[in-house]
Amino acid sequence: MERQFKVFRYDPESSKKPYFQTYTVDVQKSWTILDALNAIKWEQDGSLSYRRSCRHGICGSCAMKINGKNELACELQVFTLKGVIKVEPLPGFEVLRDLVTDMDRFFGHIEAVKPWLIAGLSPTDKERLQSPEDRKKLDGLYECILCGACTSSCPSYWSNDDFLGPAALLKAARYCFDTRDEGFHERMDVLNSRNGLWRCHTIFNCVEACPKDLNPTEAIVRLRARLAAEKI
Amino acid sequence: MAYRWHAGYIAWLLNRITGLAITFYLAVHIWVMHHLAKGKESFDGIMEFIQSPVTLIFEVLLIGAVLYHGINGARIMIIEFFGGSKHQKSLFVGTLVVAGVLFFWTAFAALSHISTPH
Repeated sequence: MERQFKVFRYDPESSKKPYFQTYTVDVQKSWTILDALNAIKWEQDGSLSYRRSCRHGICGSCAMKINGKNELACELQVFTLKGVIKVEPLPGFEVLRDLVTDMDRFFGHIEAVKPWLIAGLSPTDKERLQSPEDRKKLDGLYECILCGACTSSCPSYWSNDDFLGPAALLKAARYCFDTRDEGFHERMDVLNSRNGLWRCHTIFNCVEACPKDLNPTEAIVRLRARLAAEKI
Repeated sequence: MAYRWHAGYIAWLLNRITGLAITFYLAVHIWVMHHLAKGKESFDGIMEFIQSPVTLIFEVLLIGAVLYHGINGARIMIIEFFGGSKHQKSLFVGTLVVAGVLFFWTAFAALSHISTPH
């Protein structure tokens, strides 16, 4: 079955402005958008650039805007979409080339919230055990694959890319609500900064955009409540 | 730049628009009230203008803006303090229903008051 793909193209080394190029691809029923992009690159136009890696919705490399919604190209099946399929890079990030965006700032924000277990001054030679009940408290927080779909959909981030963004704040919540973690105060300065938790306006674009059905807004409001409780 | 139209985005956009409208009203209100300092004739003059049907339409719209902004504020508090983020779409529908019912009730009261002057 033939399908048409309208793909965003941009080459910084050419004087051409960004434009959309239409490709016709003979797709199979089981194909994802990534399969179609691979077919374009391998059989029609080797100059098309995009990120891909695991092909199983785990690495987050192939997040892009497909028919107006941030999606993982490797998870979204072609047959679920009707008409011409429009493929664009993630919004809100600088485009380096075609569908490839600059993720440096995004990962810088992730790093700023210290996304690791801070176990304080209680060293141990053994594993830090956690009860099944305490582990369950991390459901909905640990599953983030850092694809950037949420942050790139956030109007607060569009207006100020110094804002940590939903992905970094979700990652902060993953560690702050871990019963083994003692790093909340260490993270507090960055979370409580002008580009931290308070810049979220509960617009819920991040929830709409997340391909893993996570709820960064819920994580942000829980962190805000904890921060307020600590300050009081 | 825009992403997609959905409940949370529309709720936020309406909150911004009504917030700006209420701020604009506040400035107009202060401008109107400053006529008090200019004497009785000046104040009566502006009051006559304010009681025109065109101004009444804006007053009714102001009621709508205040109702939406206030009730959406309650929605945001439920999201912030009572775990409402999982139900934000239903909360938005609830906000529209409550604000809508109160708006039509008050608008009807205001318009019927003007159509039957004392």
